Amino acid sequence: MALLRIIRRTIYNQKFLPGLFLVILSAPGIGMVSPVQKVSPKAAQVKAVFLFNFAQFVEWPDQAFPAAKAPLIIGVLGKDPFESYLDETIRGESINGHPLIIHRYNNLQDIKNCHILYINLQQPDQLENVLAALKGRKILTVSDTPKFAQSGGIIQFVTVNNKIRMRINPQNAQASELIISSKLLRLAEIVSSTK
Amino acid sequence: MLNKDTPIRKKLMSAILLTCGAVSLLTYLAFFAYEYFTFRQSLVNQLSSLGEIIAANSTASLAFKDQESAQEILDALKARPNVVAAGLYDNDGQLFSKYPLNLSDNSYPKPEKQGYYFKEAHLVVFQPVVQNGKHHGTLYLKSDMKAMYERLTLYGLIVIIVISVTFFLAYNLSKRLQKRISDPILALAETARAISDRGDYSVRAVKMGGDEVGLLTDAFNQMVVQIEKQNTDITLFNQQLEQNREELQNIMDHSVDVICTIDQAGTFVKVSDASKLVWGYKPDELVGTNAANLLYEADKEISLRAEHDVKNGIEITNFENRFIRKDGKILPLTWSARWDKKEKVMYCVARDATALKEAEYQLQKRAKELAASNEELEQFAYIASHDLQEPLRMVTSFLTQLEKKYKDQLDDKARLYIHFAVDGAIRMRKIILDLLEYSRVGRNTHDIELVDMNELVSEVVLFSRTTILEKEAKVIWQNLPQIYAARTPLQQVLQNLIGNSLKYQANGVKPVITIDATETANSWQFAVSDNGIGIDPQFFGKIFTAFQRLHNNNEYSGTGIGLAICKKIIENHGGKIWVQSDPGKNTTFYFTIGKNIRSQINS
Repeated sequence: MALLRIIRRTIYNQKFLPGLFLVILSAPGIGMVSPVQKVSPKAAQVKAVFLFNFAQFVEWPDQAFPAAKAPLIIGVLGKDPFESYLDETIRGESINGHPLIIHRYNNLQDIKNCHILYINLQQPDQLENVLAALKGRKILTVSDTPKFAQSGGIIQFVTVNNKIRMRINPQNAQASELIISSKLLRLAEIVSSTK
Repeated sequence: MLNKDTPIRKKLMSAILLTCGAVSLLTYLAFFAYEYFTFRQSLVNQLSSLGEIIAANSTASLAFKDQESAQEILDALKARPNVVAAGLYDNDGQLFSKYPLNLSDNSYPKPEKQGYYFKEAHLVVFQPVVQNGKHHGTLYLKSDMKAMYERLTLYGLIVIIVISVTFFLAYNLSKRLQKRISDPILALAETARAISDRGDYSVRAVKMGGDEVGLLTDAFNQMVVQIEKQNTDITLFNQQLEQNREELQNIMDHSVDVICTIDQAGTFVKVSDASKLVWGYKPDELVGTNAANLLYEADKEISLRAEHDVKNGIEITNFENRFIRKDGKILPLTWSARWDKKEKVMYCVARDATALKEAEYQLQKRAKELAASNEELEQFAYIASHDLQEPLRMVTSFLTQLEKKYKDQLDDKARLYIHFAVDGAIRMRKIILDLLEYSRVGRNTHDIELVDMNELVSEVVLFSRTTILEKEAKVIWQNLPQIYAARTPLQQVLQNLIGNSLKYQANGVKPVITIDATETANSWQFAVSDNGIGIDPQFFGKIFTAFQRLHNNNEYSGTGIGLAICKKIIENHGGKIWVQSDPGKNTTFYFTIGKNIRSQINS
C-alpha cells in the first residue's frame, strides 16, 4: 500500500511532470526503454522502501528497545539521498508495535538509539572509522558504499542489471546480535568480511 | 417388469434382488457423496496449506521485488502436477510472477481476498502474502481435480465390481431361498390345477411345513375333502332327484286325470299323457298353446274368473267346466287348481266328469221319482184313510142299529159278536185317524216362530192335567230356552213324549217326568226323562216305526203311531230323535232342534 501511495504521489505531485514526460516518451516508436523501466521509481525511492522492509525481516534483541512500544528508529548518517521518500514510506507505519521514526545524523556521535542506519559517506576512507565506532552496537547498517559488507557493514545495496540487489554479511549481523530472516538472506548475495 | 401375473418365484427373487440392489446402491451413493465432499475439503486444505507455505516463502521476494527468487519459489510447484497455475500479485494487483511461465497473463484472474472457490472442475485458492503484519501481495493457486476424479473413478469401478458380486451372490442365494417359500405354494397351485383340470377331488396337496403355507395346505385339503363330500352328496341328490322326477313323471303319465301346469298367460307348460285319452290331444300338441282355446264357449267367462281367483291365491277344487275334445265332443271336466307363487304357474288336475255327471243325473232322476212316489203314497194314504172312514162309519152305524133294534131277538152270543165287530170298527177308525194324521205331518207346512219352551211344556201339562192328577205324577222343568221352531208340531212332540211317560208306568208308581235342555254349538238338545217301565235296547230302533207296538192292547192301549209322528216332525226340523233306557227303571228321549233352523227351512 505504501508503495502504491508513493507511486501516486510521484505521478500527481511534484514529480508529475517528469512522470508525464516519461509517459510521452513511451509512445510507440519513440521509446527505447522497456515499459517496466519507465514506470519504475527512482533508485532512491526503491531503497527507501527497502529500508522500511528491512524492519520486517530483521529481529533486534529486546535490549535494543528501551520500552515495549519504543519507536524503531531509522537513521540516516550523512547526506540524506532519499529526499522525502523515506518519510513518506514510513509515515504512520509500525513494526510489532514499534512506531517508525527517522533520525538524521550529521555526526557519528549523534547516534544514540538507532536500529537501522543508512550510512552515506562523502569520503569512502571514513568508512573504517564509522564502522569501528558502531561495532557491537545493535544497529543494522546499510550503505551503498562499495565493499561495505566485506568491511564490517551488514547490508550493502548493489545495482545489477538495473536492479537493486543486496549484499549481506551475516557475520557482522550476528556480531550486532541481529537475526536476519532467511527469506531475506535467500535474496541477497552473502559475503564475509575480508581480512 | 413385474405385473400381477408374474410367477411367484420371479416375484420373490425380484423382491430380494431389488431390496439388495437398493440397499447397496444407497450405501454406495452415501459413500460416494461422503468421499466427494471429504475429498474436496481435503483438496481445499491441501491447496490452502500449500498456498500458506508459498506465500510465507515469497514475502521477501515481493518485498524486495526479486522476481527471480519468486519464480524459483513458484517453479517448485512442478513437484505438484495437480497445480496447473500459480501467480503472485504485488500490492498494486499487478502480476509479479507466474507459473508456468508460458501461461498467458490473460488467463490470470484479478487478485481476491483470502479464500477458495471451485470453478470448471478446478479449485482456485487466493492467499495473501504477509510478513510481520505487512501485506506485500497475493498468491494465486489453481489446482485441477484429476486426482479426485481418478479416485472416484476407481471407487466407481470397485463399487461396480462389488455390486456385481453382491448381485451374483444375492441371485444365487435368493434362487435357493425363494424355493423354500415358493415350492410349497407352487405345489399347492399344481395340486389345485390338477384338481380343476381333471375334476379329481381325491388328490391331496402335500404339506411341507407348519408355516402359513402349511396351514393353507391343510385348509385347502380340508376344503377339497368337503368339496368331494359335497360332490358325492350332489351326485346322490341328483340321482334321487332324477328318480323322483321319473316317479313323478310316471304318476303324471299314468294318471287317468290330466295333470298340467299353466303359466300366467294361460299357456300350457306341461301336460300329462292322459290328455291324449281325455282331450284327444297329445301333450306335445298342447304345450305352448293357450288353455282357453279348448274351452267350451259358454264356460269361458266362469273359467277365466276361476283362473283369476287361482292366480290370486285361492285354491279351487271341483270346479266344473267343459272342454271341446279334438273330435269335437263336448267334455265335462272337474278341476282342482293351485297357484305356485315361486314358479308362477298353476298346477291343475282335470278329471273327466262324464261318468260323474251321468251318475249325478241318474241320482237326481231317482230322487225325483222317489219324491213323486212318496207324494203319491202319502196322497194314497190320505185318500185311503179319508175314504175308508165313510164305509167304516156305515158299518159301525148299522151294527149299532142292529144291536139296538134287534136286541131282544138276538141271543147273547150274537150280541157278543156284534160287540166284537163294533169294537173292531172303532179300533179301525182310530187307526185310520192316526194314519191320516201321520200323512198330514209331511203335508202341512207350519211357520217357524220363536217358541218359549217353558210355555209350551206348561201348555202340554195343562192338557194332560186329568191324567197327571189321577196318577199323582210330577212334571219338572225349569229355565228352558226360547227357540225357533214350528209351534204346533213341536207341541205335538212334547205331548206324545210326556203322554208316553205318563202311560208306560208300572202299577202304583207315581210318575216323575223331567224336561231338560242342553245347548250345543249348533243346536239345542232336549231330554224328556221318566221313571217308567223302560224299553229293551233291542227295540230302540223299532219304536220309531209306524204301527210298531211292544205291548198288546190289553196292557197299554195305543196305535203305535205317536213316536213315528215325533220322528217325522223332528226330522222336518233338521234334528234327530233317539232313546236311552234302563228297562224297569227309567227312559230318556232325546231330540235336537237346530239353532239356525230358520235359514235351513227358508233355504
